[in-house]
Amino acid sequence: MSTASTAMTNSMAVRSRVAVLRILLVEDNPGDVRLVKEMLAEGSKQLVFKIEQVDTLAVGIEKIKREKFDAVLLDLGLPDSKGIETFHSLHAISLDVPIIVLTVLHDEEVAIEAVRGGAQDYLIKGKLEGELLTRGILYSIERKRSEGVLRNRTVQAESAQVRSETYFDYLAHDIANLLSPIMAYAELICDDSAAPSNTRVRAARIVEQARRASSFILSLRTLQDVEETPLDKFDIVDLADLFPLVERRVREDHPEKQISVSYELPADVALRVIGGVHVHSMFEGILENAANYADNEKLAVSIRVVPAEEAGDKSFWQIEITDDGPGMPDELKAFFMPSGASSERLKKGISRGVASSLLIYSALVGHFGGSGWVEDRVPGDYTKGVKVVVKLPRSV
Amino acid sequence: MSLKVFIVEDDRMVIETYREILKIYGFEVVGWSYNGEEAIKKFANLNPRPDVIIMDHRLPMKNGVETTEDILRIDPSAKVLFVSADTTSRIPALSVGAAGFLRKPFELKEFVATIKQLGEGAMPAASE
Repeated sequence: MSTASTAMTNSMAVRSRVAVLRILLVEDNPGDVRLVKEMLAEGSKQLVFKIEQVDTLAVGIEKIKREKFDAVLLDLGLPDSKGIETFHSLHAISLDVPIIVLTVLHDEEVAIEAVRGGAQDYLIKGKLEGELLTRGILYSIERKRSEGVLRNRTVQAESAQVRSETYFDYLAHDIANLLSPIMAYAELICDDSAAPSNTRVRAARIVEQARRASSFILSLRTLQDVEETPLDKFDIVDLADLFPLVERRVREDHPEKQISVSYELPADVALRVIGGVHVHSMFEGILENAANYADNEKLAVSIRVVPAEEAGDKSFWQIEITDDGPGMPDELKAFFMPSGASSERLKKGISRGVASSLLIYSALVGHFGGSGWVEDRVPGDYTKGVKVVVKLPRSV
Repeated sequence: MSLKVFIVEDDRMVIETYREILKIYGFEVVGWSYNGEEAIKKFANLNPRPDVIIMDHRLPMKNGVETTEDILRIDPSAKVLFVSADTTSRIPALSVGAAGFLRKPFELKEFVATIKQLGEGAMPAASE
């Protein structure tokens, strides 16, 4: 026996020193039956083959339904079935048992077809020899076992994913539900003219925080939806139409701040990009962030769009949103990067307290085939404001 | 005359919140149910019928979409306002005939305005 097959045999014999392998031999030719039995009878100290032989496919199927075998040696030309159908009929009822097809030389193509359809191996009669047959059987058993392990892992991974999606769904749903009374009662206090003014101011803060929690849940849900949606299902938006809406919204949300927005957009060309409402919310979020973090009453924002050509066949719009707010340390900037939000980056982001919005935007932009990054407004001095750059593929 | 509202919602605290808001803003709560099956039975026996039904989606026994379908079978003119944290229920709700959808947590002013709008829309034109 070869070294490889000895090693495999050893692994099977760990518990009982001698491994007994039950083989179902479906073969009607007495000469071939005798030959196979003789070859396998040699076995080894650690390995014994126990062979059950049947003449027809029908009896083979009955056997395999009722008894447990480690492997099947299957001749494709039987009295009650010929060719590839013989394999399919047996395979259909014994998906977990490795099948090795026995074939004659001029039928090798059919044997290859059987391997494509799930047979573990094929052996050509007339070229059979003991070691080849033993090794073929052992490898087939091992391969089938590995397939099973892989299949189980895949099933486990899928079920873990379903569980985590379900937990997320419960979490998102129930927190949104719990926020409803919090927000409603706080709003009632805000609207209660009999309440002291500082109480109303505090209630307004509760409302604001509840709204942030709610919009955060919505963003995560959106991200989950976006990642499951094919690109051709997203609307196309024109950035020239979108920015004024974004600007208006941010001004409305921050009446206490003097926000000036200047534009530098290419003229006479449609600034169309894919992403619909999601791209809209992202730019709204980027501007909202700038307004939220601005310490001063005044905030100057400039929005610039330039064509950015790529090496490949795609062309992009590069959108640069610059503000003169308090800026962003380099470590945080690194989380909004061209490669998008990989699982590792997402996890690292959690431990570093990175604003989840940055990670969400990274994932969004990445999904649309674009990229993004954050620079200092004044290179080398992060305290003078940020420039958020987003590159999105141009749509026609 | 104040608008009559019926509530279908399985969260007791949310029902309490609705009742308090609706009372403050001058609506009359004519009843509530914690599950869809019971809601259908109660609705069938309500006389006069409510002007607006506030409907949650994830309910025991029957979900909000199924409950809405049954309610509209009993009274096709019923105005069902979906108020749910489950945003995926929006399209199914509107497609079975719900008159509106609000996402939880809702904005108080929008909530009140929507109920008023739906309730008044349900009134005969002569009373406007």
